[in-house]
Amino acid sequence: MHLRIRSQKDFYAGLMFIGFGIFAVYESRKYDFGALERMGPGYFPTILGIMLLTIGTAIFLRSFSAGAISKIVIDLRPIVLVLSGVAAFGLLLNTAGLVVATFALVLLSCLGSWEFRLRDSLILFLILIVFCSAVFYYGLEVSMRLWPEF
Amino acid sequence: MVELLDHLALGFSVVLTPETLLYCFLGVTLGTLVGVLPGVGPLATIAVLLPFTFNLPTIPALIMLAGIYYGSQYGGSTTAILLKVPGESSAVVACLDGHEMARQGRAGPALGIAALGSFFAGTVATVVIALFAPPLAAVALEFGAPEFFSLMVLGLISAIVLAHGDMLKAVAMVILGLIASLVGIDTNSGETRFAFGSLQLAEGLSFVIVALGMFGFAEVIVNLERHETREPFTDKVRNILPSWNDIKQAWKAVVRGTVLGAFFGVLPGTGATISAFASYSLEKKIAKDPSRFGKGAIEGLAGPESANNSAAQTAFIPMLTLGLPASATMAVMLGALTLQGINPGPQVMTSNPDLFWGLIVSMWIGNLMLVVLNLPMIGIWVRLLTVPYRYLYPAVLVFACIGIYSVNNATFDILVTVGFALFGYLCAKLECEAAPFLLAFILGTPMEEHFRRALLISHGDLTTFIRQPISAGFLAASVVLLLFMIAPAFRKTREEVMIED
Repeated sequence: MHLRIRSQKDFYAGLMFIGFGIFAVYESRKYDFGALERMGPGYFPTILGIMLLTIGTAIFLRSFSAGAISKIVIDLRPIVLVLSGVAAFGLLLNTAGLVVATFALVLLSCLGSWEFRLRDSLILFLILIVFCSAVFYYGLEVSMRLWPEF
Repeated sequence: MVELLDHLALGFSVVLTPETLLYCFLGVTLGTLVGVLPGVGPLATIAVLLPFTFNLPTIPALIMLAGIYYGSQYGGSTTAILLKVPGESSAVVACLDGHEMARQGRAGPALGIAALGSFFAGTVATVVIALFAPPLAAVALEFGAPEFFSLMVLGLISAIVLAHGDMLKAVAMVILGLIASLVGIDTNSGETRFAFGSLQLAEGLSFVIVALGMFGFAEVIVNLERHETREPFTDKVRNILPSWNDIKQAWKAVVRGTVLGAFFGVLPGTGATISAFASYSLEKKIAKDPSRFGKGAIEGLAGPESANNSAAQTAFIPMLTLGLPASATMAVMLGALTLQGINPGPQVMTSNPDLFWGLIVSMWIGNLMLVVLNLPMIGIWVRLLTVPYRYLYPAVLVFACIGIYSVNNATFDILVTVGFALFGYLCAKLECEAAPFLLAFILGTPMEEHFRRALLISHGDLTTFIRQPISAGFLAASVVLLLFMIAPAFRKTREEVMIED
């Protein structure tokens, strides 16, 4: 028999849940299972992992038969650029300071939009950095550095 | 009755100080400001603004948060009416007739009636909370571990039943949320779970990270994938006050919506969305001329908007008295409460009466501020709508990043948020809903705790959950809900109601 995926969304969702389920059960084996009366730290996650595995399998199998036909369309540009902007902010904040981190975040995330314009992004950066350093750095005194250390 | 007045008097004495009023106003204004931004729903709004409240004392912080909560709700309906972009699912209904009114050049009255209806609903809901929260808390004080466990099961099952899409996936998301909540040190054994040797993960995942990643960031990315230009009706917003004729047409719908909302808001998992849909279909059913609906019928806006707002407020009842959030947004509020060092549950009312009653009175004051102060400011809010999304989302991202960082002064948290954003985005792509995950994530820790304690007390006897009558009642209700879920007739109606967007 020739198996065909009808619903890509169910197929990958099922796989994802199965993966997390196996992972939870596997990790929980490192912790004491205990007994119903005196549960160890491994008890609850093992049970949850098995439940997740079961339901994930059901969703996975369903993708071949029931349900609407679905396809996944992913536009890589926004996800990659927005998330690398956020990650850059996280990596730069402690070393290079708020100004540089914000610049990286604004520029990268702006690039994620199909309507990107460099001049607009730079103006936006200036407005945001003035506002954020005033409110968060000077106003609310969030402990972070503004500039890199030279 | 005297007791009620005493309580409200206590609440007013807490709120009516210049400092508290200022924070209430700040909360309402900030909430509206961010809530108005298209593509930023109430949940993301609260998560983004949460850091502003960290450094405050408990009571002003919570009053400000509550202000942000209904401010964002209010801002969300403005966006729904003018742009036809619902900030969250409960605003979907406001898009139908509200946006139609705006297209006919009646944006002003539409916004006005939505605000006035919401204020009326908020006033009634405040009284409902004051009346029903104390007896409920008194009952809940008697709850033991089995009751709390079963109650949380009921809450999670309701979240599954009322999730938008596929129920099997919603169940899986709930279980995954429960697993995610276990990350960190297990309080019973002191063992660290799912931390991979990371010291930061050993402290557990913060709900701010999960909420902002899965709702805030993932939402931005999904919005960016849509290449659409929007058409706001901003020049036509004049004359905010609805005419006498409008009010005559709408007031009954407002009252009916308020009652519906107050009822649905209390039920775990249902919340604002269902009540808004219920009110809309009720108004359509009893209208003399149902064909007007969808073409700018003012009742079709006034009813659901009131229902939505009244439900949003009575949702505080289970949250404050039982520690059971009725919606994902309430779950974030609950998390915020915990961050402030308040352990939610029936004891809050007796141990912190000033906090409890202050919060309730502040909701009414906040609603008043929304009408009196914000209605005249509508011009400013409306102008915000003309700001293109490409300027807005980088700002949201920057605020969110600083916010996450400021919780623990840890850049590591920002990187974990990236992970959750990716996960949230995948979930959106796979049509797995994030709301049940977040709810389960918040309830996971207490749920495991109560489960263990109940079985410890009963010496491993699982029947303890059905031998206690109240616990058995919650479980029976869960089973009934599950049966409904499987019943084909209900399934069909549910699909009709839920798959609007």
